[in-house]
Amino acid sequence: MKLFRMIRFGIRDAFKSVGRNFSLSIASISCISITLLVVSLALIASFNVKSFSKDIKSDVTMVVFLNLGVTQDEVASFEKNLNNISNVSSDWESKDPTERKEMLAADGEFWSSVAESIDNEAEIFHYSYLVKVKDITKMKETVSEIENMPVVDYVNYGETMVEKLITMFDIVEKIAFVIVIVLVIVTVFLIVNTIKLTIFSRKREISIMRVVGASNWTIKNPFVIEGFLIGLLGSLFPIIVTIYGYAAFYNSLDNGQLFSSLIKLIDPYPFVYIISLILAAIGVLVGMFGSGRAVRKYLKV
Amino acid sequence: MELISLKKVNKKYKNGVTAIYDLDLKIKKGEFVFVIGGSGSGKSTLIKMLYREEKPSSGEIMIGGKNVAKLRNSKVYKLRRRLGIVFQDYRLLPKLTVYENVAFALEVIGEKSNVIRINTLKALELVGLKGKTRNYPDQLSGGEQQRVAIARAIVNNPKLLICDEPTGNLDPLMSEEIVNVLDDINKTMGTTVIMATHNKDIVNKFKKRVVALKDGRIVKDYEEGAYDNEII
Repeated sequence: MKLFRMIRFGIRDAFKSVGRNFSLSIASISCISITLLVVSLALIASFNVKSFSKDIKSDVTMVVFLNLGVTQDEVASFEKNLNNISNVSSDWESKDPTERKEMLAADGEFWSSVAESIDNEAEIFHYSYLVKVKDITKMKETVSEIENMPVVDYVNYGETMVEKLITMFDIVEKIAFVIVIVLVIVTVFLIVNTIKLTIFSRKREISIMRVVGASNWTIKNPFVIEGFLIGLLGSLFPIIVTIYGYAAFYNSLDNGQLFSSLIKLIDPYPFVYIISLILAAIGVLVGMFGSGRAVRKYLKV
Repeated sequence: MELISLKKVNKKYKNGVTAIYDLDLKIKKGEFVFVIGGSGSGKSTLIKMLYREEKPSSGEIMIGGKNVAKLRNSKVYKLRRRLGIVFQDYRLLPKLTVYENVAFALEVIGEKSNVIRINTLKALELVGLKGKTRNYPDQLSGGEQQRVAIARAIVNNPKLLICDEPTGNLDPLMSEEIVNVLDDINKTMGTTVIMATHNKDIVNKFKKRVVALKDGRIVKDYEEGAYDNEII
């Protein structure tokens, strides 16, 4: 009961203070809004980049060519060995020389006559395998492991392009993360200073509260609730912009494909709601933390 | 039984000024004590250490069996709830009425609303301001404002009332009125009262225990003492 009374007391005071220091509250709210907008952009970028790299990573394949003239036994033992490599995804596809000969034969009259003249396909065509890996970062090791198998002639994969793309995405993700952290810290400072100004006008009240035996918690309580309100109000605008803006951007693209079919944006729902929750949480926490810090100085009387 | 007991208390401020030297003092329950001394005698520091606005550099300050010197900042409120403090500048909230100012002291410690009402009216009656509950502080005289402050200090029934020059801003007549109120509280409620002052007439008239400070040391401690010009 007592706790409930104290919280009610705090909420009443917080609303009074937001109203009384209207211009300062507006300043804090817009300050949080702007920060959260940028945070929202950074979050969306970072989540999407994470999803791009995941998509691309799962699409990376290599082509393994076996030596010419391998026997059926050698092929079977190669396939068994391939399945034993832990990083190799089990859904690999194979093409044997007969298929290749048929493909060649289907390629016009000249090539079909050439194909007919081939007696022993295995001497001319390679056995080939399309292989996917589970962990892209261990691609190189897996490739060399396969290359070292006795029946393997050579392995092809788009090493440089894929690796460059993935390092680029990693960098983008890290930059977005740093931006979010820096912005949050800057906002905390701004909130601390704005709330300090509103507290200044209530310095006397605080010192009297201390004198008559109000606990620090009681004194802080209205200010922390004020910070909570400011944070919540400040996150409203960025949340609305995120929900409608991202959906509109997604719809303006062809099925969410950016530049190429390789890069596909995350579906707007429930993605925007998750981002909104994160924004509200950041706003509220920053507001509460900032105002809590701002009062601390006045609690030493 | 001593309510307050100070042992070898020293206070040195960060700027190097030593305000209190090796002070020993005992005050019994129900006493009325004047603490006198000129500017820089350390009486303000002594008073502030009693309600833990200042911490002593060394020594022990026992109030009601608890060592206030070791009290952490976040626990100070526990001490303040057990005592009342009156300041020279009243420290009332200008936007609250007389009633609200007194009730504020109970509101912030989470008292029930019916307890707040009963205790607030009782305290205001005791200081003779029952008819002015709806007035704002700036509609009152200095003496009346100080009585509001006293009502706020006693509203939670403290065992100890600490007054830091409560008559400093008042004319002689009003000063006497204020000390009469304090004397009344001391006699009827048995509240121990410690009052720092440099008002000679008051000290001479009321014939209470007088503790005289000079340069941070107690130079005289008399029962029914008088203000001694030679010492101060």
